[in-house]
Amino acid sequence: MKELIDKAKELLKEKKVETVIGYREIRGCVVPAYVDSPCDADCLIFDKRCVYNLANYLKWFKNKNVALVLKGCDAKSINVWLQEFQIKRENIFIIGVECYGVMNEKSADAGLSDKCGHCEAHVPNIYDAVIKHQGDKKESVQGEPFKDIQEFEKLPHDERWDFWKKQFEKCIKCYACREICPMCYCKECIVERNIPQWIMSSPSVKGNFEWNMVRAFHLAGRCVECGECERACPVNIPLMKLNKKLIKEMKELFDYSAGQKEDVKSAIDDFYPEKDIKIDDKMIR
Amino acid sequence: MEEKKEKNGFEPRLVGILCRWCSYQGADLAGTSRLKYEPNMTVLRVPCSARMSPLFLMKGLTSDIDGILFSGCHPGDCHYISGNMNARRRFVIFKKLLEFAGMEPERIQMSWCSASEDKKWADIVDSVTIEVKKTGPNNKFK
Ligand code: SF4
Ligand code: SF4
Ligand code: FES
Repeated sequence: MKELIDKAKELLKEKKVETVIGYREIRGCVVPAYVDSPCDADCLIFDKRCVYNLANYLKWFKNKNVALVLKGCDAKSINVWLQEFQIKRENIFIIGVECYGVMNEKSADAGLSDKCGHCEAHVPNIYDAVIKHQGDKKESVQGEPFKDIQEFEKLPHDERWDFWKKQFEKCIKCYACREICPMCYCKECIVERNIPQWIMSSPSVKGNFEWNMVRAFHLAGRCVECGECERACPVNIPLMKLNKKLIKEMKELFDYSAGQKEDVKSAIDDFYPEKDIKIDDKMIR
Repeated sequence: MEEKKEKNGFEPRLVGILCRWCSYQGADLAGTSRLKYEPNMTVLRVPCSARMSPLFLMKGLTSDIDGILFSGCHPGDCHYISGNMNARRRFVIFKKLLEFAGMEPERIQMSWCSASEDKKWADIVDSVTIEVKKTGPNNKFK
């Protein structure tokens, strides 16, 4: 913790950044914190309750000099922002934190979050300074990361349809999943366009199916598996199941995983003619 | 038409989204060379297969269309050099997602068809129609 506070103080004193965005504790809850003077930096903390992906705040701090406290999974979203030319690397200072799992907010026994089970980014893959982990380092559970997806794929299609129909029925179109996603940064989202209206705004079977499919698709090859959408969803729709399916397909078809490097193209606007031709046999006439 | 409907029972409503440089011309040629093929498809013309947005496929399915065929120039032949490469990736991923959500894979199909392949075009439409007929009507959103 001291390391983190010292780093924040140093950055603010030397005026390298205007704001440090990190975590603090208020009445037993961890909340995001904006720190803009060195004397406030003492409030910063990092522990396994720090689940939020703070990269989301870049939506409001795009052209400012900010420092962000980021875990491994969150730092991947910076790579995607850089790939898509949304920010300048020199504008942001990444205080990476080594992390071995955050807690699961939704389950009562407070075990580790599902996303941490197969995490490969305990140390962020992009950072300017890194804060070492104190205490025991628990490695992730090994094994097949997409087991649940593969099992679900094996079900007959009408069972799959019924499952999702029940899930999507719950959606109240609050768009919390979009607001919290660091990758959903468009000023005007497709759901808000009404000429033509591609996605029905009513929370009906049609409207909900359209919304959830399009949300998932727009994150194909961009979702960094931070798990925030599922956490934010007030009606507990398993959105990560859709995201993970796309992550799996991206890996299998195009050998691509999101947010690994800052200087590659995103898989969906890239192509490799020789490799992609393999898809044709199975899926294209 | 009425007579035919009674014979086969279900006549699917299909939509074809075709690139104006190749498949659309191919379909045109099939017409001018008086090839006989299933009349179920309504054709939409797009400037290049890269114009295909997954929203087209999704909107079609939620508007109770029974099947959608999406067709562009052969890889390497795109008028805009690489539009079909991007379209292929987008299509494949979206199809996998729809399948995962329980949509039958037969309803969303893609093909490569050039301006001179009138026979191939007729075959594609025939086989897509047969497949969708077997799958049955799309009443998921009714
Ligand atoms: S879709 Fe969900 S898991 Fe993926 S980056 Fe967005 S908030 Fe994170
Ligand atoms: S957060 Fe959940 S309920 Fe809200 S729009 Fe997204 S899927 Fe629907
Ligand atoms: S011009 Fe036909 S696919 Fe691009």
